[in-house]
Amino acid sequence: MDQTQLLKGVLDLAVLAVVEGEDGYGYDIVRRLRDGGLREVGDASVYGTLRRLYAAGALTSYVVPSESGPHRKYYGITPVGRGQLHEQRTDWYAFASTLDGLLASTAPHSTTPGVSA
Amino acid sequence: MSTTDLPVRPDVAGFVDRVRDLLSDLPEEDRLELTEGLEADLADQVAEQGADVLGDAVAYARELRTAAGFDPVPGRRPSPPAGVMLLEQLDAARAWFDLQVSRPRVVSAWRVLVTLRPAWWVLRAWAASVVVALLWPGWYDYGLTWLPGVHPAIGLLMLAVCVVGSALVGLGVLWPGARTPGSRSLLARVVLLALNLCAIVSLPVINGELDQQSWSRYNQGYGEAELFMTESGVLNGGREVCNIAAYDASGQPLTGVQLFDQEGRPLDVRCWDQQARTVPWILGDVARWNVFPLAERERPARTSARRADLGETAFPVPDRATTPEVTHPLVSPGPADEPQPDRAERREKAGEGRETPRNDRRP
Repeated sequence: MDQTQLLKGVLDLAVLAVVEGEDGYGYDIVRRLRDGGLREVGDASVYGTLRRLYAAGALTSYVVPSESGPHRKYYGITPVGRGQLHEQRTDWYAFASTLDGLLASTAPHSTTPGVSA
Repeated sequence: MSTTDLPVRPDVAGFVDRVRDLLSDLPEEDRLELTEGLEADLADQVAEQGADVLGDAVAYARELRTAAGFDPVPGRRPSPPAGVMLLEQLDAARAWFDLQVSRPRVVSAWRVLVTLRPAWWVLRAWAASVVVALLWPGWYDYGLTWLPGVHPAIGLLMLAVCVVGSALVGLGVLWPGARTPGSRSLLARVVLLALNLCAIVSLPVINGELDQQSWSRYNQGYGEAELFMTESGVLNGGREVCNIAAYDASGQPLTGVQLFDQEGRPLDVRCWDQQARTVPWILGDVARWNVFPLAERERPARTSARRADLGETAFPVPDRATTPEVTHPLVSPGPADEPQPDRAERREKAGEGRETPRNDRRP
């Protein structure tokens, strides 16, 4: 299924989640998201999101200069970011269970979407 | 986490540059924030997945903008406040100038010019004072040539004020000058630049004006002299003749001598305020100013009623009652008109026989 539309609302949450454990630079964070299953996440979307979260104070950033190549810009989570992550995580679980309930009660046939025998 | 440092590939650098261009409508800080570290991230991707991963810069920039919460389509670049741009340009121009004057061949000449700065302060003050003098209401004909249009005292006062002002600005005491370079506001810099440019531009203009001035002075003098020549009656050595005392050949004073010039024009005398002070001879009902001597009044009579009163009018007493007798070769001398011996002796002593013909005979 197309994740792109679904991602729009929750990319902040996903980014905060993968940065919580360890600081990372842009593409590093993209990799973590993709390895976590968000295969189709666009790197530009992630970079933009990082920038927005930074502007909102949820992330901190620092540049690590390099001798031979371009500088890497690392992002780390801030207390504000942790608060936001906690809130959004709670909201997400509530929302997801609501939606699960809705889908379970209205499902005419039990189907396993996306998998064909 | 890979931290291998790779040199930026040209295709990645070009891609990032294009993206930066597409973000050029954003504030500089946001643009930097969005693209900082982008080379490294993209270089990683290219290393992993090949150069095809770069794709379309326009779409990429749009995604980046949208995710960052900006308008996906670049708006018209909000031109930074004009002041900021101007300030940057001024700084750039200043930097360029500083670079030029620090060149090895120029630097020594520039040092000399810098020491002559006070002379420039005076020069621009003079330019300013000329402008002020020209704007000053009214026009004084006999001002200083180099500060025309106003009375010299006022002109010099203007110049003094302008010199003091210019020097204080130069020393940074007075706005728009600044004590420490670089601490001037934008307005002060622009104003100072404009004033200096005006001064530089106006110097040749003023110089031309001054040439014009001196020419018109000359012309005026010439015109006045000509006027004097045409308005005057009889001149003697450049000075006006107001009355004439006439004597005959034997030296006796004459009254009622009518004089005409070689063209038969009456030798009228015309002096300033003459009508109030002299009483002319009359021909019928016409005053004749060429008949001498003219009678003179004790006090000037400026009304016709007073002019009618001849109570205090008399012919002037000449400065000599008689004058020595004179002769002329064309006038046959009477028996009493023998040449005086002392004169003949003087002629002989001078050794210049006036009777001898002109041809030069050598002894």
